[in-house]
Amino acid sequence: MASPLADFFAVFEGTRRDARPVALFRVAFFTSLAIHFFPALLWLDDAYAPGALRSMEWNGWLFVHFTDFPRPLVRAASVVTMLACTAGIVGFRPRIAAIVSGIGLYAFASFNGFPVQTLAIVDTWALLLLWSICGGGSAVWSVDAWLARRSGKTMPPEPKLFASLALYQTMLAVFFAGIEKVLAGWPGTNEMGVLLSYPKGFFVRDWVWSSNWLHGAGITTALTWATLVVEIGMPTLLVYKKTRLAALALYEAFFLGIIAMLEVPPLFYGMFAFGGLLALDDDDVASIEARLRKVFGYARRSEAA
Amino acid sequence: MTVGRDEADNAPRMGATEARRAFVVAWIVLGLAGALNHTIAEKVVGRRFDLFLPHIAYGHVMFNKNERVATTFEYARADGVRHNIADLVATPALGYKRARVALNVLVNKSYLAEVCFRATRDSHESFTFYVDEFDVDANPRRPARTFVLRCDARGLAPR
Repeated sequence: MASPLADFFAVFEGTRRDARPVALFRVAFFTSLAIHFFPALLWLDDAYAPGALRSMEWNGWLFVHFTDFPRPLVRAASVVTMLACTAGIVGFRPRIAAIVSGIGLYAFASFNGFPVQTLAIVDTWALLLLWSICGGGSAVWSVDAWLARRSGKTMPPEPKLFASLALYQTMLAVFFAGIEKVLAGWPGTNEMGVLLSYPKGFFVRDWVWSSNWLHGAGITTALTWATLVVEIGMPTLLVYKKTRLAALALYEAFFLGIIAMLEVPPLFYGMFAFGGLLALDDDDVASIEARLRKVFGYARRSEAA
Repeated sequence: MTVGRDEADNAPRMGATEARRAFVVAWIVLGLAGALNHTIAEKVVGRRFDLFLPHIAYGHVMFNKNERVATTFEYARADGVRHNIADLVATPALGYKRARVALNVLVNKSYLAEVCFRATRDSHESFTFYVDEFDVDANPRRPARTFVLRCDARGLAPR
């Protein structure tokens, strides 16, 4: 019988049979990074022009010395960073893509915090650092896998290490977002009522601003409590197999609700909504696939053949 | 003493397993330390610690304390039609441009002058900027105060 310690580490060791959740997360994460950073990296002159108003958010040395960097170097760095992000999306050497894009994005975020909304990128540094150390993410749906197939090689299976730690990182952020809200007094107030009554153009989407039914005390109080329940409860319930799929459905609905109602960056949604899918183990994916086959009546590729 | 082939093969694997486990523990503890540093460290030990790594430099949450005074920023050309100030910022931000620009102005008031400077540097056009402050608790639909600013090639000034 395995010891509790071995059971604990088993989550981080060995490989996954089904690598699709990790591949999906890879595509979503790097695509979200591209959506978040590329406009500023393409529009280099506005945000990174000499004399531009800048804000220091990350590395003080890079912020101070930014103006010493020759412009061609800054432009070359932006191009290399965008190429690395693209390599991550298509699954071409994702670990190298994470290292290069991580260094590049961190440098640009340090040069000027204005164009990249700092709060959305805190967890980005964790995931990029993790990816740089652990690697993985290209066993399927990737250029790496395609190249391996073309040359008659077999791709090594997806290691569990990155996916499990990335899930931990994501859930830690969600859980402590809930804890911070409790400490800020959410249970005794109607903070969602405040948030949803903000004027047009201030954090809420226009349809929320114009939907009076969303501003009543009953619904906003329910949303306040739902936020706390999802943020504190779901990271725990995702751990247990019995509650995982229901918890994941609620978790996904929650993040869909946030991006539908509030003007938050797509990077926020890409990291957290797709990060939740890393909770799906091989059996969960097989079970979801079986249900989908039953509902939509399609056959496996092998069965069809 | 000689080492059998199996033992020799296992030796580096054992080392790798231990290193991996040490890394897992370190990552978990570090993330937890960062989260606790931002939530309870100040209450428990009276201060926060600098944990050096960027991913644990800030807390995890937005909207935990929502301002009761909301400020919106709009501009109008000569026709007087108001638009959100984010329309004057060239760098796109898919789905959250107004929030990004509003947050930048709230973080640094000079950002409004920067928006004005970039909007007028290549033209002789002038704009009227409207800064509306809403008391959300009193009336979220009608501004409690409005500041009107003139933005032209000479800069941003109260009107």
